Amino acid sequence: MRDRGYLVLLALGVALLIVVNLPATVAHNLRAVIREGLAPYQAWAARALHRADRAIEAGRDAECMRVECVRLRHENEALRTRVRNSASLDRRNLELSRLLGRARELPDSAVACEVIARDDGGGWWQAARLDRGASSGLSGGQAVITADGLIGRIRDVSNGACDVLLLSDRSSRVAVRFVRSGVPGILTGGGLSPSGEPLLGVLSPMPPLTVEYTDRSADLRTNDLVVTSGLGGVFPADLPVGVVRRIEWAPSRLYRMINLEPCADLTRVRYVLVLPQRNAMRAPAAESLREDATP
Amino acid sequence: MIYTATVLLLLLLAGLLQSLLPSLIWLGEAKVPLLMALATYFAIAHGRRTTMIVAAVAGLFQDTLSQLPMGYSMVCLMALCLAIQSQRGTWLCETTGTAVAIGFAGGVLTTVAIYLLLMAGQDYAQAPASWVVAKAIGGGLLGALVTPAVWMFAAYLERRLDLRPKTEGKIFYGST
Repeated sequence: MRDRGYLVLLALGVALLIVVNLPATVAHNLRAVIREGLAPYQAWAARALHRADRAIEAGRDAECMRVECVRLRHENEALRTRVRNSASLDRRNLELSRLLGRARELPDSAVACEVIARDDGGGWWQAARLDRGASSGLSGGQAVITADGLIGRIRDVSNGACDVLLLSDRSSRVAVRFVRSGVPGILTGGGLSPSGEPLLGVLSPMPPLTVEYTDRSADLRTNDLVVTSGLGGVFPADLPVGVVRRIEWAPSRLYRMINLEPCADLTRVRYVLVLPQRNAMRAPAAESLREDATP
Repeated sequence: MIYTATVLLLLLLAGLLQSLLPSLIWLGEAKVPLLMALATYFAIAHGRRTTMIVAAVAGLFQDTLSQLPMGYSMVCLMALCLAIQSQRGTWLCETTGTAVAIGFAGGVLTTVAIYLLLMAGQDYAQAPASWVVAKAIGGGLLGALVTPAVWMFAAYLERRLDLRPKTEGKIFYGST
């Protein structure tokens, strides 16, 4: 019995060695199988959580209504109830309409997806999981946007789901451009969710989105819009990324560090669009230009 | 067969919940360590063979759920469970106090160990020390919070289904 126990331990040790040295393709397939298996349940649970979220929001709305009720005693109670009930639907409708509006400006191959899980399963990366995958034509590296702007890029894809690396992750790098001045830069993630909480500087010296190494003489101001520059070949140009909130000198005083507030809400986003790869996007744009030029 | 299916179901449930439950930014965005809590339950309440298999599967599951390189969580959970196993019956037993202590220590140790492995393997952009400390403490606090509940649930399930192998005793956590 004791010998058998040691044999099992030995077998586990060998299994561990095999797992640690697993070829990348096998590890990828294993992850894909797990992701595929969990995606329906994650989608179901995400929807349940959204419903609960809406219920809580409705509760908050109700509290606001109560305060307003004191101020406006003579307001029609039935009308207010109807407004309260329709508020969450209106918000959702607005979000989807804006997304649809954005989709109309983009090539037909942009894929609309729903966020079914946030965070990496181990809490080490700033990531999100979408409910579409390779079967919908998605592949690694594609840009992911909302109606408001860029949120990240696809990192890993399986047949029916994919993982997105958000802009706020430490390993995220995006080539950007300041719209007003045209100054280029590289956007780096700080590794924390953008929460707007200034005290979080204790946890990370770098804010969620920072443009580093900008020229010290460049004309930069707060509220400047920052968009993708299109350099580097990963993201299409001119996608809104963020708005300048703070401009600081680097400790060496050789360059400036620009803190941005993201255009898109990275923490509460629910519906997104995945853009086709850049070379796939250029073709329809060029064709449309030719059509426009034809008399 | 029923026993294996139940354990696998528990692991799946723990993994699914772990991936879905939101993390708190002030705790370094540490995830609720449900898989670790479940593995430690088997370490404290079962034999070495069962423990190591459950720890290996839980670790593998955690690695596939996240972007961690394969085997990192597996190594950490197996080492943690082996350490708990070696002290079982001496000063570790199935009590709520032990569950809280193991949950906290396990959360802190696995977080630090995974971070060190990530750094050693150059698989991760270097994080600020304050963030790692917050994440480790966050992992510990969440572990201390959920481990007693997970132990109680797992023991309750085993008791209701009468699933614990005869060789591994009949005293269940939460039954005394």
